[in-house]
Amino acid sequence: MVKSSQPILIVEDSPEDYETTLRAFKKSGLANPVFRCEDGDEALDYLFRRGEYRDMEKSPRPGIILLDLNLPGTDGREVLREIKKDGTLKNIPVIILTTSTNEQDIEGCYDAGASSYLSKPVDLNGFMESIQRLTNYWFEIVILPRGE
Amino acid sequence: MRLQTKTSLAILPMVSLAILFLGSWSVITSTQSLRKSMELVMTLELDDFMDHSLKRMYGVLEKNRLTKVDSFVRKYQELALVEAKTFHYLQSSHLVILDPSGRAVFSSKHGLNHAEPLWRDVATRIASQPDGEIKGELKTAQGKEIYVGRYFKPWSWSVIYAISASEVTASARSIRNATFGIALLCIVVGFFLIFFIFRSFLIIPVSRLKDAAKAIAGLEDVDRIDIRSRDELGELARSMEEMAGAIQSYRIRQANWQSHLEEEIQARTEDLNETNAALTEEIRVRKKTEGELRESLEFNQKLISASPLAIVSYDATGQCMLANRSTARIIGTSQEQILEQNYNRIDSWKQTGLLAAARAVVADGSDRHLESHLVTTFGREVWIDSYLSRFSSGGQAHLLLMINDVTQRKELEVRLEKQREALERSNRELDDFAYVASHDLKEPLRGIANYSGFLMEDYGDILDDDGRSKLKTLIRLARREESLIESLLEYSRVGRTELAFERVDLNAVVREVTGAIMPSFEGQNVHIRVPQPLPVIWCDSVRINEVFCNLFTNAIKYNDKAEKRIETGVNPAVPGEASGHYIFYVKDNGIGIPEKHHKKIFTIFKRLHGRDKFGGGTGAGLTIVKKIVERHGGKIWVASRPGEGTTFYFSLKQGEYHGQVQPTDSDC
Repeated sequence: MVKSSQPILIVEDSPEDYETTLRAFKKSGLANPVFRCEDGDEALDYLFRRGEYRDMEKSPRPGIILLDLNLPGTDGREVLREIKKDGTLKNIPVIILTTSTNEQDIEGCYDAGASSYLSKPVDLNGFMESIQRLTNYWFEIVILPRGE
Repeated sequence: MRLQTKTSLAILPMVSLAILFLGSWSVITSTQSLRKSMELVMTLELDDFMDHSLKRMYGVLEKNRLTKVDSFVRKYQELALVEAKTFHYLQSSHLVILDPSGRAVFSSKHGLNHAEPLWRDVATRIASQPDGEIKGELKTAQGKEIYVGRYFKPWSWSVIYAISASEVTASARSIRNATFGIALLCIVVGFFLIFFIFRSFLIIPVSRLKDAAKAIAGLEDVDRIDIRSRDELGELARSMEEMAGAIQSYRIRQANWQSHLEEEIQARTEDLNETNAALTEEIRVRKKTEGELRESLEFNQKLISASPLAIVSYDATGQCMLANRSTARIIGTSQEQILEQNYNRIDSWKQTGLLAAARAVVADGSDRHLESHLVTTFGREVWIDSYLSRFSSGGQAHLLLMINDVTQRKELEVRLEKQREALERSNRELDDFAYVASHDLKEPLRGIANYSGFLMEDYGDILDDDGRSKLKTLIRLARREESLIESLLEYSRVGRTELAFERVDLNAVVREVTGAIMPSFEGQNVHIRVPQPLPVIWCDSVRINEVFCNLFTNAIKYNDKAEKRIETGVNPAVPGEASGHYIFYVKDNGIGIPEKHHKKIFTIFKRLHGRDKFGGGTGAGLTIVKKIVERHGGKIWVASRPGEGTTFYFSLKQGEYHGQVQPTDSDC
């Protein structure tokens, strides 16, 4: 289980989608701290503690990562590859959360080591439900690695 | 004196020899007759002694019958011997008597002991003679002895009367000596005479003649031969002198001729050497040429046999003369069967027009190239490129046919063509779809936006701040959607519409663009610089305007510097497009683009930054620019260093554009 103290990193460029996700978390009663990166480069800076994320306080190691694929600049596919290439980061579960239902994207992400692949449902209820189920599974059923 | 006369002088010693011979002969003859007469005298003397001394003494004894009485006998014997002492001896003659025992009982000259061994044999021989008589010669230490012997039977005495032979022949010897003397003198004189005659008349002249002959033979000069005699040798000498003269003059002539000959030979030899050298060179060149020819021939044969092209030749009647392996492979049969063919009778040639082409080539001699789809006599279906040429062999026009099997290429081409058509269709459909879809998408969007606006207007007062904020977000999102759709429409329009090519002064375009965009960025300290005049090119001015507009806008938007500097120009000193193109650039001092994003930036809706950063935007601008440049037959690329600035390069064709511009599809 993800301990309540383990942070969740959300990589999402759309503020509306981010807002929606937070809403869903709130409804599920998830109290973990949430960190957001708006694009791929920022996410990598966070994870590898570069630039403005040099400070450990500002960038705690996440217990799980929600990753959008279509990001400005470096996209989610690259971020995923970088995470899975790195020895200390690769055991963090990465959940792909995207509007793309492209077969190539789905297979490519699982090949690259994604833990789950979710497409964002268009209607709000569907979206909410997906997020709640997701959090239920990952934060209540599954035992995650201890991390650092 | 004639030589004959001189020679006759040589007879003299011959005569001397004759005298010598005759003298000798007469001496020998006279010596013999002297000896015979001496023997006769001695016989008479001895017989006289026998009769008067011995026979008389014995007669007395016989008469008195005292023959058997030894004392009387001995007495009478002594008497007889005394008488012997008184015997009349010729000069140097002597008498010897030996008894039957061989003992000398008497010797007139020497002592008995001396006479005994000398005459014993003779005495024995006398005793054995039937008549008791003997005569002969005996060699003694003193010389030859001529003797006469008688046997006195009653007393058995051998009586020998001997004389020295030299005594007898003494006179004959003196005659002989005289003869010998004369003869010897004659011989000596004759020899000297002969020697002189031969030497002075024969040997010397002959020797001189020999020397002269030798000299002549040795080709030396002989002016004069020192023989003054008027005989044959003299004549011979004169003749030889003349001959030498003749030879000399001949030699001079010959020498002249020889030197001339030598010059001639020299000249000829030089000519020959030159000819020889030329010949050697020619042989060398010919050998080299032959070698090269052989190699060339081998190369040609190899070329034909190993060529992937089918190479076939036909004679004037159309009969196949040669076909290589590739021919067999392409036609699908053996070389032997091809060699049996006559192209006038091949159906597939008639059907594909190959026959007509072949006949035309043979008739007019100009090469022809033909691409045809052929079903060969042997059932193989091929696409071939045929190259037909005429060549002459044995004064007749032959046909050379080279075939390239292009079946694979052709199939590939067909496949590619189909793919291209499919792709084109798909692109067109995509553009159409985007266009139509965009239009249709815009309609409900307009509704959402409008109704959100109505909501805000009519119920804005009722909602709390959170509600109003959400409604504003709704309106903002609807507008964003609209701009995205607008971009898509724009993009599809670039791909769908025909470009309106015309002569465009790019300076005017840049001025227009600058004028259009500058108001939007007022107060941002923007400087757009055009360092040198831009060319006039053949393009669609509206689209190129769009290109500059997009690039300038980006250059200003993605720029965090206090003074935003933009420069545009043509043909910068960077490696770029091939000739025939202008290369334009738009350079800024903006934030720059990391290299890993250089390709991505041309992808539609791809942004490198958050939606609202750097003034926002849909992320379609560069995609549209790329499509416009490519539709103009150019290319676009970027060079940038993050933090320092970015330079976009794009190429546009120089001169008038005639080509068919295909809508490109790279970004769909």
